This record gives sequence, C-alpha cells and structure tokens, in this order.
Amino acid sequence: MLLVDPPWHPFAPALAARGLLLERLVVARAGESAAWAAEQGLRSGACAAVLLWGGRWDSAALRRLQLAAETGGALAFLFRDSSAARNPSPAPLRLRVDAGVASGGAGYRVEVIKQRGGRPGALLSLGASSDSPFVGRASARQRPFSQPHSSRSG
Amino acid sequence: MRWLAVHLPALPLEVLGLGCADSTPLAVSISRRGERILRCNPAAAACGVRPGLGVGAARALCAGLRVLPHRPDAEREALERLAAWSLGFTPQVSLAPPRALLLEVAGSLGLFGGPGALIVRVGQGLTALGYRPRLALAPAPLGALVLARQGWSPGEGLWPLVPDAPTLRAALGGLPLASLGLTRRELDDLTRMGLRLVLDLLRLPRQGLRERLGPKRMDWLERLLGESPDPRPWFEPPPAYRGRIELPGEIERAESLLFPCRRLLLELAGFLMGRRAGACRLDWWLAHGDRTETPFSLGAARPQWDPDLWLGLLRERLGRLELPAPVREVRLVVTDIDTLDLGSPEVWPDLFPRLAGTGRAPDPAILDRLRARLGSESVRGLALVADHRPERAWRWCEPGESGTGIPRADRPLWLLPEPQPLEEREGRPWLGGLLDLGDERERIDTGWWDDGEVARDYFLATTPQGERLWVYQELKGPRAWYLHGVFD
Repeated sequence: MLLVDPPWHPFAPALAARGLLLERLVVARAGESAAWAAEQGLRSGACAAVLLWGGRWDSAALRRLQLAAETGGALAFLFRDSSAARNPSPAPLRLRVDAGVASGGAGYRVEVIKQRGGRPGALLSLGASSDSPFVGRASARQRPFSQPHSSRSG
Repeated sequence: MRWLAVHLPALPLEVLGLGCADSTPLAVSISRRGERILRCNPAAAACGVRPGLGVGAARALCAGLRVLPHRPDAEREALERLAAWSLGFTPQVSLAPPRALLLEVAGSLGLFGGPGALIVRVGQGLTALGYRPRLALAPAPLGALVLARQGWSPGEGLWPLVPDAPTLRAALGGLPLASLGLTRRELDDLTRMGLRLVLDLLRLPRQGLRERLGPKRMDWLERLLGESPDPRPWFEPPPAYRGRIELPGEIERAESLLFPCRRLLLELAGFLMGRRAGACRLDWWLAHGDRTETPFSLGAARPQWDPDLWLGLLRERLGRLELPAPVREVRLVVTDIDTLDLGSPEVWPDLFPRLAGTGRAPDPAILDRLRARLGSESVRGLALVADHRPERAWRWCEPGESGTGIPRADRPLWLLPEPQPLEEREGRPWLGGLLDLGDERERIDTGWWDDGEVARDYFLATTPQGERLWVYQELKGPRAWYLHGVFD
C-alpha cells in the first residue's frame, strides 16, 4: 500500500492495531509529483492500493489516475476537499464523508455522490468506534478543522 | 570450436563519436607522414573525406569537419568493455587488438537458437551500443577474423556463417590475397609468382610454400584454415565496471544526456549478465572540463541489471538535476556487484527486453523509481518502536523493515508532526468550539532517563462537529493543552 502526501504522520501503532502490515506500507512525500507517484504505484501492479491527498486535479489528471488504477488492477483512493464534489470526475465511486452528524454521537455521514451502475444520493451513517475499518473514513482536512470531506475514486 | 569474430573497423571514431549525431562530419587523425585522416564518419565521407587524406586537404573538402586525435588508449578501454559485455553470450571471450574480439560460442548456440540467431543478436546488441561491427562465424578464430574483416555482407542475418573446415577453406579461397593481411614483402613476392586469390596460394605444394614463406607464416596459415589448434587467452573481466563516454560536443541540458548514458547502461547490462550479477548502486560523474565534476548516484533496493529499469531511474534523476556547466564526458562506475540467483539460463534472453513479451507481473522496482524522482529520503516505511511516548512509538524506516513495538487500537490514526498548542477556555481546550474530553484520561509519564521526559494526560476529545481528536495536558509548567493526534 502506498500513501502519497498524507496530511499528517500515519501513526504506526494504530495502523498495526487495525491489521495493516507495516512492512507492506510505503509513505511518499511527493508534492508536485504526487499524481506521478500515485500513477507509478498504481501501474506497477505491486500496490494493492494507493491513497493520496491534496493536489490539483483536472479531469485529464483524474482520467490518468483512473486508467492507471485499471491497468495495475489496484485501488486508488483520492482524498479531496468537499468543494471538489461539485465538479465532475471519471472516478467510478465518489463518496462525501462528514464527521459526526450521525444520531447524537460521534460518527460519520457518508453520501454516495456517484457509483458505477448505481444511483447516487444514498446516505449511510457509520458509528465511530476504534475498531472501525481503516478506510471507514480518512479525511482530507487541513487545519483548521472545518467540515472535513473526502471523495474517493477507486 | 565455433568462433564468432567481431571486427570493429570504425572503433577509432566510435570511441570519440559515441553520442554524436551522425550528421556532424567527424574524423580521427593520426601522425603518419604528417597529420592524416585515419577514419571518418559517413557524413564526412559524403564530402569526399577518406582515410589517408591529409588533414588540411580534408578540411578544405569539408568545412564543418571536426578532426580529433587518434586515441589508442580509449580504443583499448572500449574493446575491454565490449569484451565484458560479450560475456553475456559466452564465458569464453578473447581480445584480438586493436579492433576485434573473438567469442567462442560452441556452447551458446543452442541457448540462443542457432548460429544465425546468435550472430544477429550480437550484431543488434553492438549496434545498440553505438558500434558498427562486422561479424563472421567460423571453426577457426583467424579464419573468422579474416572473413569478418571483409564485411562482404552488411545486412543483418547475412553475416558469413561457416560450419566446418572445408567450407572455411572454400570461403577463404575466393578472397583476394591482400585480404589476409600479409606483409608488403610477402604480398609482392606472391604476386610476382602470379598468385591473385587465396585459392591460388592454397593450391601450391605445402613444402615449397613453407620454404618460401618461412615456418612462422606457414603455422599461421594452418591456424587460419583450422588445420592446427589456435588456443587463445580468455578475457578476465575486471572486478568493477568503469564506463566512460567522451562527448564530441558539449551537452547543456541534463535530459540530453539520456541517450549517451543509455549506451553505458547497455554495456553495463552485458557486463552484469556475463557475471550473472546485478548492482544496487550506480555512481555517475559528469565532467565539465575545468570545473569540478558533478557526481550523482542511482540506487536500487535489490541487485538489478536490467538496462531499461536503470534507464527509467536515470530519467527521473536527470529530470531534477541542475547542471552547473555543460557536460563534456560521462563516467559510470559500478563497484558493488552482487551475484544473482538467476535459476535457469532461460533468463538470459531477457537481456534484450524488446524481444521478450511484456507481462504485468508486480514490479518490485517501483520503490527505486519513486526514489529516483522524489529523493530517497521522501520514500519511507513505518516501523513500530517499543516506547510509551507516542512520538517515539514509531519511526521512519526502510520500506519493508520490521520494528518491535505494540499495536495500539486506542491510538489515533494520525499523529501531528509537532503537537499543536490549543487555546484554553473555561478550563477546557478549545478548537472551533469547546472540546468534550470524555471520561477517560491516560497518563503518560516517562522518559526521564533519556532527555525525552514527558508528563502528560491524554484525552480522546470530541469537537462540537463530532471529530475525534487526541489531546493532552502538560502536567508541568503552565499545564498547557496540545493537540497531538487525529482519530479519523
């Protein structure tokens, strides 16, 4: 698994506790080359998944990413600001994740913006528990912590 | 014994002209009754320049002609590097200076699909390295050399392939006597006898011929025909690869170095294949003339020999290289050679990846490629460390490395690189709203023995929006609040 430009340090003890093999995890600091790095990972066939954060994405870049994921048979997760939800994307699945607006307590509200072969608009509420799956929600927030959202392409 | 002779007639030019576009007229001169042209490239030949011509006359014919001095030392170096490269085809390679190599390929014919396929591969490989060889295959080394020097068939796949001694005798027989490389005196003597072809010579009674030419020349003739053995000293490859390309012109853009560097990588690949080895580290030097050289290195996590792989890494590296001055010469040094466990020899033909099919097997070189472009410090793995302090419970490591520590399900997924001070309002930390600290606190009070002393109370805090954060309060000093992690 390749993480490209995660917003903070991925915390090894928590990742290991969620069943991730740290030996199989690579973190890359790519900056301007983030799209390139993600594409390399996806195409290589050596990565099961590539997660990347930030960057500016136009539709051509998104299509390249999508194509690379299909070529390498890998999953690509792109975490973007919620404002990106308004723009079209070739990603087959787009989710918008909001924090903690589930019934009364901590949790996530997941809205399906787009899914291949399915109708958009479905809403899911996930409870927050420490044993929730790793990708239950990973956010694209930058400080300050205002309305985090992510969309995912894979 | 099957000998593949590699004759390199343009070597004096090729050692200097590597990386030079063919459109630049180029010639090499030698001091022999004044400065004379030794070899010239096709662009110069098109202007009428030819070997033997005086340099002044050559310049008059061809205004843009670059004349460089003959460099026998560079030729010798190139020949040895090509010998090392040839070891990818057979372990038995012999130097035939000044401009030829002899490969004993009897054991390799089956592997490479027969003499025809093998000779084509050797030819293609040398062409890719920037040489224009003449090749021949024969049962005797001298016979192969004489046939190769003729260069009678310039087309690939049409090189002379001589299966046995009678055919060799017939093939040599049709050549003019001058092609044997006899001394002027010997040649004049035989011509006066009315001999024209090698055939005429071979028809003469041996005893009379021996008296006429002397025993030494007669032995030579018997070896030429494969009638007497002709043992050759085998080339011993040096322990390290040292390649060098002098650029005939100055190169100012780093990307333009890719083409000449590719030839060094192909040469290195043959060198490594000959030893069934790979390298983890390639050291490059770019020479600028008077200025200090620019060094850089390429690294691979596992020993690699594949020239395409190294070329990919090189492309990324050159892309972020700032050249302080134009480049005049490129050197490549590889000292750490690791023997590969290649299993069966079927992998040999992969030396020519363009001929092999492409699969989509996982590509372990992905790390090397990322590192070549992003810098090795930017591509890392994570490992656990047995320590209670959150900032020391993990470390950056080489990807794939394991650590010893305890997984903690109660820890946040993200740790801030530096704890972020939080405002305090009404006795509670505040971040876009008062934080709900919950019921549980965890005291981490340790590290007094190693200067990393911490004394903190950690809380799982929730923002009014429902985000879950990891915050702590210092137990010393002003008891300030900090944000240290983010749960999701």
